[in-house]
Amino acid sequence: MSIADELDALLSAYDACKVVIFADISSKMTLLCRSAEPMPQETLDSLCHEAALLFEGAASKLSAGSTPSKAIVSDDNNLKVFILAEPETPDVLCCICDPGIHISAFAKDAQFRLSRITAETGI
Amino acid sequence: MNDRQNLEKKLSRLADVDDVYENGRRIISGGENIDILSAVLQEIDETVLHRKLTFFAGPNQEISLSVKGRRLLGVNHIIPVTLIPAGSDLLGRSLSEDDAELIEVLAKVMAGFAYISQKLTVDVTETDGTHDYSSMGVAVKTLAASWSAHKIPEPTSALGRFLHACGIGQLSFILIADDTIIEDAGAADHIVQLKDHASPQINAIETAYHELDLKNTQNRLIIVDQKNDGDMSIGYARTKDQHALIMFDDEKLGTVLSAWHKNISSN
Repeated sequence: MSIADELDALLSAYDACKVVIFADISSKMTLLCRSAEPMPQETLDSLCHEAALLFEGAASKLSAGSTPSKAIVSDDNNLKVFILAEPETPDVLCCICDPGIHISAFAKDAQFRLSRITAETGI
Repeated sequence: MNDRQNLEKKLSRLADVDDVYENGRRIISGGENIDILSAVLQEIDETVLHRKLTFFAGPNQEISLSVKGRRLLGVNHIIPVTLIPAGSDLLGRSLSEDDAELIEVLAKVMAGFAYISQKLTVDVTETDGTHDYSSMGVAVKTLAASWSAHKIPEPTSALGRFLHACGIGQLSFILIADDTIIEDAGAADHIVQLKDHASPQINAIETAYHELDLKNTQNRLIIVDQKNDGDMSIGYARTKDQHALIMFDDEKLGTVLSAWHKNISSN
């Protein structure tokens, strides 16, 4: 499956998932976005920067002695799920979901699809 | 009416036909914490023969008591074990009215156990004799006085309600207001990690989010996984005037997010 197919499959499997982006946190750049509605570039940029904060910045230090592979942020507006492919790679999935999503199943599925993306692209 | 009919009538009246069962266990409380403690005490008070009473207060939250003659003889097991204060030796010990220290420990355990919002069910079985409870046990009156003195007060803040809604014993946390820890609970080593390692990151996280210039959201919960310590997750929660650091088993992620949504983000 292509990267786009993987993102589409994740989006279609979970009604509560509204946006999925594949990004590079080293450059803080969105590589591919899939969403039910068009997303403003500012939102995509913001997600990339937040992912960098969570996996490389201050929030990553909450986790003592290890780089997190999964991060979740809930604020007044959204539930955001961030998945890092491997601790040594800069590839992430950033997802915006409704609060009611089955978080454990969704996170596992997202991790699985990201691992397939990185395996197939040889990143 | 002969004696047998009299006896049958009395027995019939003693059997409460209004009892409701779930998964073979009798439902004895709907969920308010005062009801739960009272319900446990009532079960002890109604137990004459030697029985094991196992109370279930939700997934992975149960306590098993050995009871005889309307007195509590001992505690067989508690789940989760994090409800037991560190260094306490409560399980399998014979209890008596002279054991003020153990009665105190049990009161703290029951306060945490009761602080859940789910229904309480009980399973009554004949004791298997695994434990040798040779003492006279503790009377319900003594337990009632001790437990009521340790009842956990209702949290006054939204963040406090969120933490308690996650289930005392299900996570470790420190609650911070005005740069001061106003409450902590959970496993001692987790609390140390939250205080010594995670707490110094709060200012840096706040600064980083400020620089991100996201919509000025007042409430935020950040959770990251921590694979080098089993399958634990660690989180930072903030509201307008309080902060909290939490640590919990990754399996509880759904429970924590649900509690956050109900108590914070949906308000």
